[in-house]
Amino acid sequence: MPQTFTSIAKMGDFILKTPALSKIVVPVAHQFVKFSGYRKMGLRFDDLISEENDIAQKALSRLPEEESYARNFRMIRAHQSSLTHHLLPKTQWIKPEEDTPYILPFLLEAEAEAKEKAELDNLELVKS
Amino acid sequence: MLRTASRSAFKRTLASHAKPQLTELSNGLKVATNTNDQAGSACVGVVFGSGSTAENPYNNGVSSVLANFFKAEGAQPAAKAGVQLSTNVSRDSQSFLASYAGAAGLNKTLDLLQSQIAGALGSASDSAFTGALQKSIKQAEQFELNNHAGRALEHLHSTAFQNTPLALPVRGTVEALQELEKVDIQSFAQSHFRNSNAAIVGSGNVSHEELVKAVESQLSLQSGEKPELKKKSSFLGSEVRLRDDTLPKAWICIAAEGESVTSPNYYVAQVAAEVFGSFNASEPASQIQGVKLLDEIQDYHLCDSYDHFSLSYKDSGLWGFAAEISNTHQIDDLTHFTLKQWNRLSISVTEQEVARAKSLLKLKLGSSAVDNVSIANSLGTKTLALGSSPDLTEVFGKIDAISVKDVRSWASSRLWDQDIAISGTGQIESLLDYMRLRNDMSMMRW
Amino acid sequence: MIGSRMRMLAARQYHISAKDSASKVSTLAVRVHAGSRYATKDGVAHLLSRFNFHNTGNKSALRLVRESELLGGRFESSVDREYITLKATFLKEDLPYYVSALGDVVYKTSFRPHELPESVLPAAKHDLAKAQACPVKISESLLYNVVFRNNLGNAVLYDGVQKVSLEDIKTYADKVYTRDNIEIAGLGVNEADLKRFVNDSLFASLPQGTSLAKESAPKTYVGETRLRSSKGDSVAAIAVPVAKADFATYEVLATYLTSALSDLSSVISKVKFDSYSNAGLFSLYVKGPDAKAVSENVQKVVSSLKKTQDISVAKDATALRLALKSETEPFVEQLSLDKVKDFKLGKFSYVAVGDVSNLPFADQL
Repeated sequence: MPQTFTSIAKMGDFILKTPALSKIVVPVAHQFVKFSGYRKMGLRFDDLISEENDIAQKALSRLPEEESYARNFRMIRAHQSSLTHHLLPKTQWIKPEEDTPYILPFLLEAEAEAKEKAELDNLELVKS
Repeated sequence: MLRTASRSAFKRTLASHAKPQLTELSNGLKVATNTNDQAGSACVGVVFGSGSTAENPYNNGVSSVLANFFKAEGAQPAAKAGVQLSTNVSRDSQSFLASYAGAAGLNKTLDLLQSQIAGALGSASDSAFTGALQKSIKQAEQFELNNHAGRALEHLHSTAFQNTPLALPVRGTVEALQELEKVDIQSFAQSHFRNSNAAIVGSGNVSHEELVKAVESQLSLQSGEKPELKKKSSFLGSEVRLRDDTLPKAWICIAAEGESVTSPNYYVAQVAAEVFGSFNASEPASQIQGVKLLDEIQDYHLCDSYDHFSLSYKDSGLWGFAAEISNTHQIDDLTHFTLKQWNRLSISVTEQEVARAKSLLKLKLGSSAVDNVSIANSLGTKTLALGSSPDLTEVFGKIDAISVKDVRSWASSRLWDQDIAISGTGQIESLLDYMRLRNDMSMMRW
Repeated sequence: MIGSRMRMLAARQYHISAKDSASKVSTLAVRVHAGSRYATKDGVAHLLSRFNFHNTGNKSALRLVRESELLGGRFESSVDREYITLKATFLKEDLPYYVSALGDVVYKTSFRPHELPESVLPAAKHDLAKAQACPVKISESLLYNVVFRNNLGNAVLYDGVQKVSLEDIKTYADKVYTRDNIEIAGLGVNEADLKRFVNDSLFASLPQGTSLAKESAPKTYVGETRLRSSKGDSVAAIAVPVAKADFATYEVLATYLTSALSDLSSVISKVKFDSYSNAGLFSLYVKGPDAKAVSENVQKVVSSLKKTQDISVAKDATALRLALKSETEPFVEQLSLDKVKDFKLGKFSYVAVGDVSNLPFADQL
């Protein structure tokens, strides 16, 4: 089954709720974030999510104006860093507390809508 | 999910539905009523079984002149008596109806009707006819000038039924109207306003017995044979283009031959049309209807609105759609996707789509029969075309009985790989030629 | 048990009326004193009306439409100066579903932020464009503005002159969707059934609130205004505010002037009498492509209306018109036409739209 944001979010919630799992997974996740290094280029995790699909496009179109502006700014800044083969000065790195999921709620809503539409498009009638 | 527990208990409290009643008088005149004694008003009138199909290219529009005559001449006495006149001209019928409440009363209203019809048959002054004629000419001119969607639909008829009676426009052509004289109008009235060709109708708060009695003593029409059409209308796959790039949009119609009013598949064709229904791009609720065609249309904004229809007449009918398009460069996409969806009616229309269409058709028929004038009008036309007007309960029963298989087999014989008629006006440069469109009426494989 | 009794008592306070009929289709209408006259910002009533039948806490707009199609029903929400009216038309046996659907809408619309730009605003914009393409509609709203200034004179449709935020719409919805501010009516519906289903729906959970409708008549003014416009025909229109006691006279006058009983009917293109709970407006429009002809006609109409004339001949026709209206509309106001006799035009407000260089001023009439 292809992964959806809904299923990922559900799995994440499950891991966080289960102490045994979260004890292992959370540190690993932190290490992953550290090594992937996107924060050092001034990006937030949600900036990395692929946007070339209908769901993400819909979510992007619904972002509040300031969020959308800030996202574009971060991306341009990161491109510039990449182009010049420099990391940002340490003061501009994204701090862990700033790296919050800002587009995920919109993705989940768009996904739920698409799922509902697919369901209603393919209703089975039950004779009563 | 949709059914609540209280629903079955609740059904019992529904008010029962009155059945239409029909009496044939000794002179051949039919009297039909659909009584509703809770109504505050009533509507009575005469419906004749001849409309624009009974005309010919030289007196085309005479029915519309008679309708205008009826309304203009009767206006003053009607307003004084508290009676409201309405008329309706269609291809197979024309009706002259009068609504009244309390004060006017049945007898007074029938007197009024009788004097108007006598006037049409010849007793009225020349100036009255000229006035009505001028009004019809003005209406026809306005129609040509402003009503592009209507024009496309009239031309669809004119090409689909070319050289047969159904081709003539209901309003008449300006050219024919300008040549009309009083004697043309009178002779049309005299040969068609006959007992044998008429139904007296009543709806709302009027009792059948009273109406029959009143008609016997108060109303008389011409006697004589029922006028029959010399030529039967027949469908011919063809197209007509009225390209006009000065108009802001494009209006197109495409249709295959539909069912006649007497056809056993009359309601199947209506259900099939309702599968696609109507769409209006500016209405949020319309955008989310359960019609698969809408996904494609909305992704590329292929049209502003469309309406699928199943029009039925005595001899034949038209089944198709009319669309208003502002994205005039993609008409080819619109027609392609639409016709491909029509193909699906023959091969893969789903249970859910048909159930939806059936419910919406019932809603459409039920909500069109709310006011007395439209009830009376449809009562008259149905009585003349079918012998008697079916009760709505019966009709709903027939619709309920339609299955997916019925729709598929109807579509396979009437739509799949069948000839079509095309008409369009406005910016129709990208409306494909006949053969390209005709090819979309079937698929090589699916 | 006590809970359900409480709800019964609460629901009894709704103004519910119903008329059963033999028709196969029922109409259910909920009208709320929430029209533009009560608007906190221009256009907020229009936007709220357009927000109706969008996502609610219980059901998405998509699910509502799809379910409703399968049952055979449709929805409509409209706004005018007095009311927002939510209307459902459906096959008779589905009453419970539609009562609960309308209850959902007034109680639980979720007002998601994205719905405003994606669906509500485009629809509102379309309404505005349609109204602005019609010179008679433009004249009408100008007349209202001249006669009542604010209150009934507020603009009905949202035009963006005052920015309305989602928060404004939500606050307005909380203010107007209250029990005392709502009337429910059914056509082709059994009254006892309707009351029962209203009890079981979310209508029973609405806060009590107070009715926004006021008894005292709004202040009226006499004035004139002109609007140059090249869209469509030229219009000259007059209007008179009507006190509640005179409603019958103006209903009859409206019938009289549009029927064959009056010589003026051929030059008048529209006559409208709008009645509200505490005031009314009678308006009359002369329209045509040629402003000079419009000018002549309006002068003719006004000079003839200034003479006292007996309009009681149109009483029967008016009674019929009102009877026909009451058969297809869920909300009906009773009106006694007995005392109607003479009419004479006094002071009036005036509006000219279109080729105003060729249209008269009020003092020339």
